[in-house]
Order: sequence, then structure tokens, then C-alpha cells
Amino acid sequence: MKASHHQKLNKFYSILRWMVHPVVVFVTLQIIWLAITLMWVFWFLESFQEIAKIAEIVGSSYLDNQYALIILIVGCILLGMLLVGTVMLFVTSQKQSHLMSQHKSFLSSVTHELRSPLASLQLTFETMKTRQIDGDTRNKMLEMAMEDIERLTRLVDQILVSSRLDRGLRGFSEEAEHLCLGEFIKTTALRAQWLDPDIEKRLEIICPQELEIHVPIPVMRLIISNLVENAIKYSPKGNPIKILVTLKEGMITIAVKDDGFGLSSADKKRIFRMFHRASITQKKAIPGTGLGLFIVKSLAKTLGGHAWAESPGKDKGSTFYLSFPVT
Amino acid sequence: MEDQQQKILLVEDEKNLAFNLELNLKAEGFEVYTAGDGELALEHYHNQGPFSAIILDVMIPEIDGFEVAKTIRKKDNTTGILMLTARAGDEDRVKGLSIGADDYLTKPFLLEELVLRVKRMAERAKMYRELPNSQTRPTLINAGPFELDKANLTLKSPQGTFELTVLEADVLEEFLSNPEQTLSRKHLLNKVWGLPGNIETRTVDNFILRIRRFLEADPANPKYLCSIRGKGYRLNLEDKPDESTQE
Repeated sequence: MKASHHQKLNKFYSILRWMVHPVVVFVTLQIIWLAITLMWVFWFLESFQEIAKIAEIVGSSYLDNQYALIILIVGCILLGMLLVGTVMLFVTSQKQSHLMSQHKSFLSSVTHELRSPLASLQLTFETMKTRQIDGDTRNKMLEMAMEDIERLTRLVDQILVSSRLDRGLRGFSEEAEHLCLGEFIKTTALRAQWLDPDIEKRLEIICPQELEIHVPIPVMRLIISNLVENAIKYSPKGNPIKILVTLKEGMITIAVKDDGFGLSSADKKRIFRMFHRASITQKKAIPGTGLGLFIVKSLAKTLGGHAWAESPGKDKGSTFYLSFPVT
Repeated sequence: MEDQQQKILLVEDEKNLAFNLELNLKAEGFEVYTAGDGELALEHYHNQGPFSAIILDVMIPEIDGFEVAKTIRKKDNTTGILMLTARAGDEDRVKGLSIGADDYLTKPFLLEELVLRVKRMAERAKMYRELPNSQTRPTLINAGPFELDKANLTLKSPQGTFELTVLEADVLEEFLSNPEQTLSRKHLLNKVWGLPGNIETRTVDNFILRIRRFLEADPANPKYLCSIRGKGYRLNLEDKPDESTQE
């Protein structure tokens, strides 16, 4: 008896939840709104003569026949504007809600990314405090702790940089320096050893010898490390990652190619947006914050270039490109 | 036999964390097999088992931790599974526990707490593996319409006959041995999980949801295993005025 009462109550709540869903409420309100508008127009057209008579008795000249059309048009414009206003409010609120859900997912990703190195650090120091460990192990643990600290620093940097980029590129100016591109790419890519200790074996870099460019080093480092880390995360362990640098008509193009999970056409459009993460990330439990490619795209602009992605489709790998003028 | 029961399968893709965990578990006397992804975890499980306990990260490459736990639980009820994860959401906790994990620990965690939980799991697995040969403990526990067979890890209830994990059997034993008594979360955590009462108690709440599926016709509106607000849980076997309040 009690159970069936609860079942009925649950059914009632689920119907109620459906009824107060924003889209249902919005559509219902618009139907009511349109019905009222149409009723008002019909009522106005039918009753105008009587209203005019009353106006005549009262002595008002504003309800003469000549004003009927004007009143009708003004009324319709007013109601139309209200209709457009509510649609705009609805669209804005939907966008806001989408943004909020993206923020929520971002917070959850960042929390996850913070927790792992923190757990490792905590365990390292607890172990050092409570266990008798030999010198070699102690040194190894200290190296690991440094790696974890570096990882945390990188995450904080990513958040700070994306926040600065989100406010616009104006405040983002770094001093340009000379660098040998091939050597620089190799050194930067190998820093991703924290993500894959075998990265050196997987990596193939093809770059014109002695190619020197004049760019802000921190900007270049962020771009390359994000593209390489992405290739590692989104391709099976051990599969090759190819970096190809070409110089053509005063433009340098860096292509980072993997034969990993690829991109769907929907992901290809959104992958560079802030907080957006490819649909595969949930399924494959791939860590990340949804900031890396946003940073790449924004920083490419600071170099006067642009970034884009190509992929033949899901499970067919992808290539990320960065193109910028030689300076 | 002794060696086999002290084996731990550690599934963790964060190499620094895995190194530290392995070092600590070895220092506690366990033999540790480490896997960095779900595929290797299942390979170790099939080739190196039986294990006393499995420490399982959720976000691992190839096959995620939930799937690994599900696969293991299809054929193994005695090995304890401790989910160790950076995902702190209640949904994940409920999901992990509902597919057969026995415990859930969120990163970062205290070493002492982890070791305590793993030791308790290993003890439980050892006890159950030896139970059919043991003469000292009763293996059949009856209370009301329920019959718990601890040797075969089964429960007969009005809802049918269910296969249980060792932790499920332990929790049910505690309730069936103390019907009509309110058992606090701290009591359950201490008696069944073997943990001090100052550790969080959400694991107990999530676990009770899992147990109710075996006892109740409508687990959302429990008739037998009821929540007593602010006190804990009670197994009601007699029809008497309802003092329980659902939480």
C-alpha cells in the first residue's frame, strides 16, 4: 500500500519535472502569448466600432477610424518586440546554462588533475617519514616529488595562461628570442616523459636543418608541449608520433601527427574552444582540462599565425597544425 | 597458500603513485603485482591470482576501472576491491560500489587509512577462503525470511537467492545477527570494515543501498533494512509501528 503510494508519488514528480523543464515552459508560454496576441487582434478588429462610439461619447478624438490601423500596428509591434525579447532571454539563459555545465565539468577535470600529483606527493612524504628507506630509493622518491610539483606547476600555468588569453591577446606579449626550431621541438617534446616514459622511442621529428626562428620561447614551448601531450593522450601507447616542420613561402608549418583515436566532425569544429573536450575522453578515461588546444589556438594568433586540426575520422588518427610567418 | 593470500593487485597508471604504493604494500608484507592499465590488470588477475585484495584506479587506459571491477566480480566474490580514484563525485562512488567494489578511497588519502583497509580486505579474503574447512564458525545464519550461507556466499531471501561478495556477506551477517537493533554507521565501519569511527561513513550508506537489492521488494522504500535518522540502520523483521525514517 505504502509502496504503491510512493510509486504514484514518484510518477507525479517525474511528470512535474517534465512540465517545469525550461524548454517545455518556454514553448508553452510562447503558445499562450501568441494565442493572446491573436485574440487581442480579433477582439480589436471586431470591437473597434464600439470603442470608437464610446470615444465619441467621451469626446476623445484619438479613437477615430483613422487611428485604428495605427493602434493595431503599434500594438502588434509592441507584442512582437516582447516576443523577440523573451526568445532572446531564453536563448541567453540556455547559453548560460551550457557555460555553467562546461565550468562544472572543467572544475571536475581540474580537481582530478590536481588530486593525482597531490596524492603522489602526500604518499611520498608519508613514506619518507614512516619507512626506513635506502639512499637510492630516497633519491628516486625525491625526483618523483619534483616531477609531481612540476606537473602541478604546469597545470596552474595552463589555467593562468588561458585566463589571460580569454581576456584578450593585448596583455599577452612575450619578448622574442632566437632558437633552433628542430632542437627546441625535441627538447620540449621530451619533457612529456612524465606522461609517457617511452616518448623518445615514439617520437619522429623531421625539420629543416639549422632552421632558426625569432619567437617568444614560453609561447612556443606551451604550443609544442600541448600538441605533443595531446598526441600522447589521444593515441594508443607505443604508437608513433610524427612532427613534421616545413618552410614554404615565408610560412613555417608544424604538423603533429598521431594515429590515435581521431576526431569526429563535431569535435573538429569545437576542439579548440575553451573547456571543450573530445567525446572520446569520457569513454577512454583520458585526463585533461579542455584548456590545451584553446591555448594553442590563442597563442598561434600571438605569433601572427593560426592552428587547425585534420582527421580522416574516428580511430584514423589526427594531425594538428600550427602555421606562422617566419620572423 | 599463505603466500597466495597475501598477493595484492595494484592497478594504477600514475607511475609515481604506483611506485610509492608498491613500496608501502611490500613493506607491510604483501606480494604486489602492479598494472598500469585495465588490460594488464585482467591479465595479472587471470595469471597471477588469487589475490587477497585489488587496489583499482578508475581512470586507467584501455579498460576503465569500473569495467575491470565488473569483469572480476562476474566470477570472483571473495577478492576485495578497493577503488582508489581522483574522482570524488557521489555518482562515481555509488557506481563503483554498485558494480561490486567493496570500498572507495578518494585521492589524496592517508597511507595509514589505505593500509588499514587493504589489510582488513586481505584478512577477510583469507578467512572466507578457509571457511569451508573451519569448524569454529557457524556458516548458516537464519533471521526472519533470510538465510545467509557464509561458506557458499549466498543469501536466500523472499526476493530470491543471491550470490554475495565477502563484504556483502559480512555486512549481512552483522544485521542478521542483530535484528531489531539499530546499528550505527561507526559501529558498522568498525565491526565490518575494521576501520576506526573517525573515517568518513558515506561508504556505509552507499553499501547499504547495494544490500537492500537483496532484501527488499522495493529498495527505494525499504521494509526490512531501514534508515534510522541520525542513528544508523536497523533490520526490521517484525511488523511493528514504523519508527524508521528514510533518509
